[in-house]
Amino acid sequence: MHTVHLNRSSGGGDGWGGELLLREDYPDEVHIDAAALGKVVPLFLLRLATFIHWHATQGRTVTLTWPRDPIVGAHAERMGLRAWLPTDAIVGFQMPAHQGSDDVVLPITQLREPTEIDSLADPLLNVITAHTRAVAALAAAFHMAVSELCGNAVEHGANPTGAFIAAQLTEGPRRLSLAVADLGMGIPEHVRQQYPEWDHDPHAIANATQERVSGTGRSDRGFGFSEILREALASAMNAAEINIRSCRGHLCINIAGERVVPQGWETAYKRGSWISYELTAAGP
Amino acid sequence: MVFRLSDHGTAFSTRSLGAKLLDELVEGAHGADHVEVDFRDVRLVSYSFADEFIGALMERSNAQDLPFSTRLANVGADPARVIERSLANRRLDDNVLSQA
Repeated sequence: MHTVHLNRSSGGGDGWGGELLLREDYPDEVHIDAAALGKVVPLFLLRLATFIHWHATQGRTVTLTWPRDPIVGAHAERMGLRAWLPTDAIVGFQMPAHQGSDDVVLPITQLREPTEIDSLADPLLNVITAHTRAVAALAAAFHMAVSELCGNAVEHGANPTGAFIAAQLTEGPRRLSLAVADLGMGIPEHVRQQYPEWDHDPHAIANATQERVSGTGRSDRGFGFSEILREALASAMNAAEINIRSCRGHLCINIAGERVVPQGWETAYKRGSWISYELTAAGP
Repeated sequence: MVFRLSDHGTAFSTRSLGAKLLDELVEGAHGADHVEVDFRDVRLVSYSFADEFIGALMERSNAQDLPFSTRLANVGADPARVIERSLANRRLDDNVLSQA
């Protein structure tokens, strides 16, 4: 059996803690010890769900020790983590005493077809606009990000596992956090279909966020990322940050006021594309 | 003919849905001289949807590829902002929006 040990900080921060590797040489049984988790952010939840789903489709038996912290456990339950495993594959789960759902915008959801993205649009908008005025003011920016990122994941990141999305609202300050992931070819490989000279992955990802840059070869494509940034700038947000991890590149774009500051660097290889997007509300 | 977008929802996301609704509009306009696309109660559109639906519609209209004239009506500020960018990227006039 291979055991993944997650510590208190594995699930928080940038969501990239813990070794959740998609390795084909793992033994037939894989166990995730999530008992010590102190927090779970949407990107980490997608990594967990993808890890479980991928290894299961490879024919492995996956089990999980549920987070011991009742607040973390209740949040993971509300975000739909338990649905990714058979009931008897989970150790230590206890139904939360208080359900509460104010922090859940969208539990972990798998997407395979564009129609599934469209079916999310109205319900998600209703969730956002039911919140405070400061959060509702982020609706247009949030809708653009969900639409364009999920559209890219399903179309350009097509793979047998599909794409995944999750979103939540956190306090102190009020922040909408969204994560979208796929196990497709990756953004650098996608744009290299048209720009083979972009062999440095951080550079390829940064270029992919520019207008009219697309791996499709179509002149009417390549506006998705730039539109996400435009809507963030047009919204009443206090700040925004998008992190794009794909293949051997990581691009972080920080938006504060009217300033858009990108930073890119090389990383260890990551299969597919993993995007987290945070919008901080201007007010309670 | 009036094509009520809100008959299909109030928030729209994907290119494929934009293409599907454009096909429905063109097919439903058979014999009509004029089509009004009514955006009443439409809250948000993504760029991909707007471009594949309205951008493509206006491009065909400008190229006189359609047997009817087209007008957009009751376009809210959020959808209008996105549609304007699609039309600009396709190098089309946005005067259809000012008529709303």
